[in-house]
Amino acid sequence: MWHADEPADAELVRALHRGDVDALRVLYDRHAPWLAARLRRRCSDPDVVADALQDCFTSVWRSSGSWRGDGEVAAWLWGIAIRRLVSRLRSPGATHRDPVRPESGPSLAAESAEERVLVGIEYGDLGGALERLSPEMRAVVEATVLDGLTSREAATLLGIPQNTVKTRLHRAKAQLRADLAGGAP
Amino acid sequence: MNRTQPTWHADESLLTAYLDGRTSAAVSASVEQHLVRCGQCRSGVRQLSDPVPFQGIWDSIVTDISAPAPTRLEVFLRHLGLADRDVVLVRSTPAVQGAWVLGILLCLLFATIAAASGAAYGSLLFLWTAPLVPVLAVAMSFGPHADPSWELAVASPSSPVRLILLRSGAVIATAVPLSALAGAVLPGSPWASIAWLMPSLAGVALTLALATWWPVTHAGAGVALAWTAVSGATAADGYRSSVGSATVELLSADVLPVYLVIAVVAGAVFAVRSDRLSHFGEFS
Amino acid sequence: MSTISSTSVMFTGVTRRYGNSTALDHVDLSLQPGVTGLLGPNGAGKTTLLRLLGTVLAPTEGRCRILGLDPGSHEDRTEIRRSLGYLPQEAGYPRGFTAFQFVDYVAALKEWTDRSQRHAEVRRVLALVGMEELAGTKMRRLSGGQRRRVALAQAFLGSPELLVLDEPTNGLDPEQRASLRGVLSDLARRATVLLATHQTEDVAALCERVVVLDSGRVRYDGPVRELVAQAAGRVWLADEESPSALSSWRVGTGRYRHVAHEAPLGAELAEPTLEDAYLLLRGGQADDAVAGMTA
Repeated sequence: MWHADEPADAELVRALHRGDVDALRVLYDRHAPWLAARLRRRCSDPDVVADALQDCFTSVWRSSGSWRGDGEVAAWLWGIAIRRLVSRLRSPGATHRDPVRPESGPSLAAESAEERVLVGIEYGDLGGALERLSPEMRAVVEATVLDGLTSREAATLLGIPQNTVKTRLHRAKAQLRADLAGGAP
Repeated sequence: MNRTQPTWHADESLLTAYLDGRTSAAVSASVEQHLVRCGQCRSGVRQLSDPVPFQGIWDSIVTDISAPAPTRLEVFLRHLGLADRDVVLVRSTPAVQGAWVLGILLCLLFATIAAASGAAYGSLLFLWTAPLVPVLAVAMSFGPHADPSWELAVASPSSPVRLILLRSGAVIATAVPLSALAGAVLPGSPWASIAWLMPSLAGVALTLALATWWPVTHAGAGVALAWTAVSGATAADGYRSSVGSATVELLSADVLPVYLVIAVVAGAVFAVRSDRLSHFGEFS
Repeated sequence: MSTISSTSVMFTGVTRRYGNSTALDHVDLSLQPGVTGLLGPNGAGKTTLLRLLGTVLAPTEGRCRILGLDPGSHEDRTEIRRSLGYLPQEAGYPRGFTAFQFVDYVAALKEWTDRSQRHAEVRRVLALVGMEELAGTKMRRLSGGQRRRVALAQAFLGSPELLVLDEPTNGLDPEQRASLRGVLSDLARRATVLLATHQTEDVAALCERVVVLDSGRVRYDGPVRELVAQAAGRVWLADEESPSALSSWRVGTGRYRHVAHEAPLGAELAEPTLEDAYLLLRGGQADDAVAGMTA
């Protein structure tokens, strides 16, 4: 599978400077699916997600220079994609937006043991603590801590006032801290 | 790049659950953090995704990137209230794209420095340069010599005269403020720093009128030479009588109407003969 | 479209002089919808004829009607230009422009005022010539053939009634030429297309009718197959070169192909192509044959 990564993403981003559309196409083929999947979890309107994805790669094309040349291209792409989503939601056309529901429908009540292990690897105890937050607080933590948005961007994404983002984040951090320190079950 | 290799990979059932939104928040977050670092699992997501919508989005991206982002100049012109189509036409002006603005700036800078430093003929140097700037700008803005795509412009239903005036307007609009700024820092009467606009206007009108006979580049060069000869002769006269009076003589109140007459007559000639410019390379 | 007749172009006794030299000498030409080929050596007056058709040049003498209108009048000329697609021999581009910007600029010249409509049209014509993927590339970075395709794309803007194309296939590889032929024959169902070229195979593949121009005069004007038929019995294959032939060249098989009025020694007759006929027409005694044809 690894041979599919040639040329490396970093090479491709550099090729964008030279106006190489093919390089953009390869980047798109590699990254659009997972970016779309991740965006879909933050916005339930598929049209807005498609628009954000389009904006993301258009902006990658125009501002490939903003990549500093180190770190994961994937992380850089996600940063652009989530911000494009936020600005799509901010635009006047996007009237109907659903506040993000991280778990729409019944979640897997009985998580498999394997998944617990995975969560443990990525986040340690934090994973479990995250799970115990209320959905509203968890959404704020995801948007700010995991997706790296500012409180203003998170407010737009979640469709709640900026101050509410700040309070919820404050409370969520306090709860996480207590949870981790207290060694909850 | 020495990145941490992932220690685990998401299997198909986990990725499917994630894509269907059936994973818990913590698992989703884990998968997402993992995907950022793992090309193998990203390609797993790709294989589980329906490619059809992605092709549609890609087409939109190609559309977006082929329509260039508006340049600062275009944004500025739109702010001035220019219609979008006219913005495109102005942007195609050969002189607007070139490095000529820089050239003009340097030219004026030297003239201004010379004039401001009180050098004997400094103000004459400025006076000689300033009116030429719009003339040369116009001479470089259209016609088969200056514009490589002029034949296409001529073959289009757009009025070449309108195109010429639009482009001339654009180059003058960039050239005049620069000259005016330079004129403003000159010592002496503020009148002289504005009065040069008169010979400049006459020069542009004359260039356009002559362009209905000869290529505009030739016309502009001819007008520039004529102006140089006139200002040179006046300077020589001024040298014989009293130093520095040349400026006054070229821009004195009884000379200024002459420029106005030239401008009006040349403008009329251009208006009458302008249809000749709607053919390519024909100067008869 | 003219409702009076299907004739889109009617030139009568059209002459064009530059100073003392005569580029076109009393040319009569009428064009109908479909693709007409224009062949002729350099300096034959092809470009002058195309410029007259493209209304960018006025005739010294003679009468021109284009799409039923008079290119000598200002209003009519503008009207003609609204229905004209023109590819000049030298289609320069504004410095620093991308392919998209260049075609967008011509679209603006062609009075496409609405930005999004104009952009959609620009994309359509770039796709026609297979350049949509390179639309964002600067013109100067494109290859000669790619640049030619972009220049051709602008001629397709607004699906014109009259297409005047000077060497549209210059610099294209065989595959691109083939796909371009498809586009042109599609357009020619409605439009009148005049295609000036050096490539006899383009004419053979696309045109029913061909006009051959030499020294400012029309040497042949008629169906392609009749011109080819003129060469029947005058094209030979032989093992040796022949000094008496009008033209001979070595073909892939190692033998020599001759265009000659009389059979070279030990030669066998070959099936003539348009190229043979064109060479024959341009050869020494071709004039009589043409006089007989056009009389």
